[in-house]
Amino acid sequence: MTNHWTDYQHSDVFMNIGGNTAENHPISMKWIEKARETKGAKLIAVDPRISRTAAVADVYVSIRPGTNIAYLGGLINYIFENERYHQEYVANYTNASYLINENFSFDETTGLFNGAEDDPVRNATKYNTESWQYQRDADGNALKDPAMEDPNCVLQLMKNHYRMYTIDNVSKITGADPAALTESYDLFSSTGEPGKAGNLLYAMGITQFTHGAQNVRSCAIVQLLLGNMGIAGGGVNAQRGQSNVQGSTDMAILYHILPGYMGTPQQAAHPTLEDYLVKETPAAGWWTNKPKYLVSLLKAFYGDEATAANEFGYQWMPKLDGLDHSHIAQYKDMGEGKVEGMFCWADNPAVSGPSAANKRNYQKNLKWLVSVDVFENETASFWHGPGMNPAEIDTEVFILPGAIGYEKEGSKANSGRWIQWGWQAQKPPGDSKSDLWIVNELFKRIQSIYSAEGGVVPDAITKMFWDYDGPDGEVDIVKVCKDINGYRTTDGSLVTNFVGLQADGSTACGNWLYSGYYNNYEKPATKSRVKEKEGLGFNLGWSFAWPLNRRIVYNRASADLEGKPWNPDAPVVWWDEAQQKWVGNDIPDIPGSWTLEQSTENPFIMLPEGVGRLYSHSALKDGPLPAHYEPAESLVPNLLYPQATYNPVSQRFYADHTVETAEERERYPYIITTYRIVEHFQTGIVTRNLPWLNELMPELFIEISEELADEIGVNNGDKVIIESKRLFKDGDQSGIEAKACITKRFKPMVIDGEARHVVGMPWHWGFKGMSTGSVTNDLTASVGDANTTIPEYKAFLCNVRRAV
Amino acid sequence: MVIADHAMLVDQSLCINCDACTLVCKQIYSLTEDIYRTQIDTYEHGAYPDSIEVFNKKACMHCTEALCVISCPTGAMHKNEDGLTVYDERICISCNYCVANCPYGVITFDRTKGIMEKCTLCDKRVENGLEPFCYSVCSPQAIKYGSRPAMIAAGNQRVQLLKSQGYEEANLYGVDEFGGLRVLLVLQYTPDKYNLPAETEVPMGKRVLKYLISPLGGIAAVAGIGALIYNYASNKKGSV
Repeated sequence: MTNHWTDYQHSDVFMNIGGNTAENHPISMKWIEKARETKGAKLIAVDPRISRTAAVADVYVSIRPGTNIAYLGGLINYIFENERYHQEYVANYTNASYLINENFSFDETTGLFNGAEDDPVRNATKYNTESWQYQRDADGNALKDPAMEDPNCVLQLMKNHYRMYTIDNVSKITGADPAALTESYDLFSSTGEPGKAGNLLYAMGITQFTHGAQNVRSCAIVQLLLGNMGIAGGGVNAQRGQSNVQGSTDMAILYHILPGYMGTPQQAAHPTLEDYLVKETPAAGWWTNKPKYLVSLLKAFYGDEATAANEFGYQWMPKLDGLDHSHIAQYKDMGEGKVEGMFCWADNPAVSGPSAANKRNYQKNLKWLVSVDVFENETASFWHGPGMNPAEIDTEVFILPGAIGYEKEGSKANSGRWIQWGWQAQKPPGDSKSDLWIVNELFKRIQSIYSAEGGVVPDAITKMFWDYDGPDGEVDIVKVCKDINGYRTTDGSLVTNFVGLQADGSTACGNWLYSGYYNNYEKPATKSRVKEKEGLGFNLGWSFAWPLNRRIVYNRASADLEGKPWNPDAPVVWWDEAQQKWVGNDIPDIPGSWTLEQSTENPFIMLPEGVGRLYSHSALKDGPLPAHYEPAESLVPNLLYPQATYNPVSQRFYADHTVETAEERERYPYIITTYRIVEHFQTGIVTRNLPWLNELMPELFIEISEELADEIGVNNGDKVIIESKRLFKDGDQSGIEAKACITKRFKPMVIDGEARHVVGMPWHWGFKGMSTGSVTNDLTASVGDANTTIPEYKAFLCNVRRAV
Repeated sequence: MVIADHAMLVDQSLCINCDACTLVCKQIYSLTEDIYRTQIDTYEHGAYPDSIEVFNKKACMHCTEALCVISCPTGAMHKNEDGLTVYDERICISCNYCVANCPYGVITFDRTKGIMEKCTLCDKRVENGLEPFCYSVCSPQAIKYGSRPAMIAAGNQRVQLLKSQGYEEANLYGVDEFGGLRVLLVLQYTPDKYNLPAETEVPMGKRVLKYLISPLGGIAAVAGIGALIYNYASNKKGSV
């Protein structure tokens, strides 16, 4: 989130797209309802289904799964056509006036940007982004047209790109009612007026597509055009579904980043530390500090072993080989016998991964599997899942009993980036241990084995700094906090925040973004609990938000060129003439030494150009502007770009994996989406073992419209079989079983003149625990986003028939 | 602080069906599987995409003229000093008249425990100056709690707001129904859309019945003890 939960009270209009905030983030409704009651705020819900959020929304727009870019593109076009954008903001705080290379183009027949090349390794298209860049003068300064009239300036390019996203076209693609489209566009774009706040909140219904990153880009473009970034009640707010999923992302649970969102070094491009620092450090913007953060990270990894002479241990750090190692790719490797063992930590991909039945099959190739969880999960017990013959499986499975959140101490980062300490409420039962205890004991043993016996790359293990035992022999969490916060290597004293970090090895820091959260031992900010008595809800004394306790990022943009808040009723920060500096209700997201002029030229401090990117010349692999592509499996052609189908940059991992022919579309004639419900959590490992919750939501179901139910002769509560191409291909099952829930929440959608059925299923069930049911993800496809490889769980094709 | 004439206001327009109330109630009162003191019902109306989904957090409404009290032959279901409908399991004969007569369908007979389960408005907690549990856990703050006049005022204010937002049918339910309810509801639509009863007065026949059976209380008590023994025996059979 760029903003935070309590900030929702300042919004004038909410757009909940690709999320179901009332069901999956219930506490958000407290703040949404507060804004509705005190400010007369309006809530727009965009969803294929009348979700619980849609049930309480002021405006509901029904769109076909996988057509978010079309819907948001329509909004962008509406903003242009009706001149609803925030003129001063767009002209000064975004790259709207920047001139783009004259060779940049987009082919509206093929749906390809220029620079498209074949990528045989990934079996997809890739782009050469050279001609997507800014025009620059001899000194390297980007050229601009302040009047924003040049046909090559970003604003004009965008107007042209989005001119096809008319109400009529968007309605044909999405199946949405034209009147509902207009009403929602009119309402949300009303926040382009200075002083108004529009809040765009989303969740997995935006990200889990083969074009998920471009969906997010669309949200960012809308919010930049309307001047909603940096202001109270505005923002692009990704609502996280798990208490610390923000924290795990910050700490680089994903393979392509290091802690604090620095790219993982590539062996080919970055053989030396110098290569990495030179190539990955931009010439301007906050990331010019990257060498300080990376060297401090290396010092945290390798301690005294890391010296300037040995590149601070850079050569011990694992580097990427240029191949995809995301979740889908890892399991593909496993299927091909390239993976010997797996450590599966608080994860249950046998239920949550795409094509989960195939995944369980691939796990047969493992020699060993370690599962750390609070109950025995489906991944650990894959060998007695559906269609498995335990006699034929040689995998040795170890189960380590973990502890749940309330049984251990530590910080959790919420959606609003607040790093809040959680204290232990009770000891874990029996031999269960906290993750920290397990990882500490594990690594101490690994290190001692490598020290004694050596190995392939022993230094990567033996040189690792590992001293987290407390005086009592138990792991000491405060030592970990010290590492993360950062300290001076000379005397071990804690740094105040990341401004104190250095690139010369004199500081160590495990995650620069967190620096400051634990900068003293007595009263660390993460444990602070000072509740705001009056104010705008920023609660600066309550825990610590990254970066530097800023609650709304890019908040300089909440004020006009002179530094006066666009909205005087909810002022975030402002320029204090007397003191000649930025002050406010939040910590200004601007270096303290900057003049007004500097801050006005660079409100988006992280970017080299200092302004928000309406047009993103190289951040994403699949284009500088979002373009509508169908999901990987779709019943209809691409109605905007006739030769395009789905995102051409998205990798094809498996041949013959998705529905592609007309014959197959007849065999799998229904559009299906998946989602979560309030009674169960993720793969249900905790919740399916709680009797009360099982009582409320006892079994897996599929939501079917009354019309489809009539067509296939199914009554409410009947058992049905759901089939997708995945199960027929290499699973032993012919389909999965669920109970039919006949509902008015779904309705056939008219796509380009033809009615199409849409159904939906939650996915919390598996074959272990007190409440068991089919694994919905046995149906989903192992296809993913072009940039992130997040699987396309939200839109694919299926067949539904009565279970005889 | 103990509030005299306390009442609950459930704003069904704010309810998001998260079941926090359902669960805290089950947990605190150790309710048997499939037995609830409060539960949220969902109703769908109209046609997509203009179809509506409404939620009704249903629990004992603590009617002033309570049909369960009127129909109870032993006085197990009775009114306490605060005017709340309370239940004394010691003299209950499990005749289920209260279950059959409750216009809101919120009294359940728990066969395993042999008792009636219904919302107490957390009377014991309230006596200690605390609020009902469901109020404490409601994430969208759809449940409000305080003196009945204050709740009526707050409810009317919400109704006005909803009307200004275009919910023409918005209304406050429970001011006069069954002599006045201790649980008031803010509704966006007419009560029938929430499956609330069309009849909101005690029928004359049942009033008369009460006059008839009152003098016969002693007989009823004797009959009740007999029924209690019978019920105990049959429950034992049932549990084998």
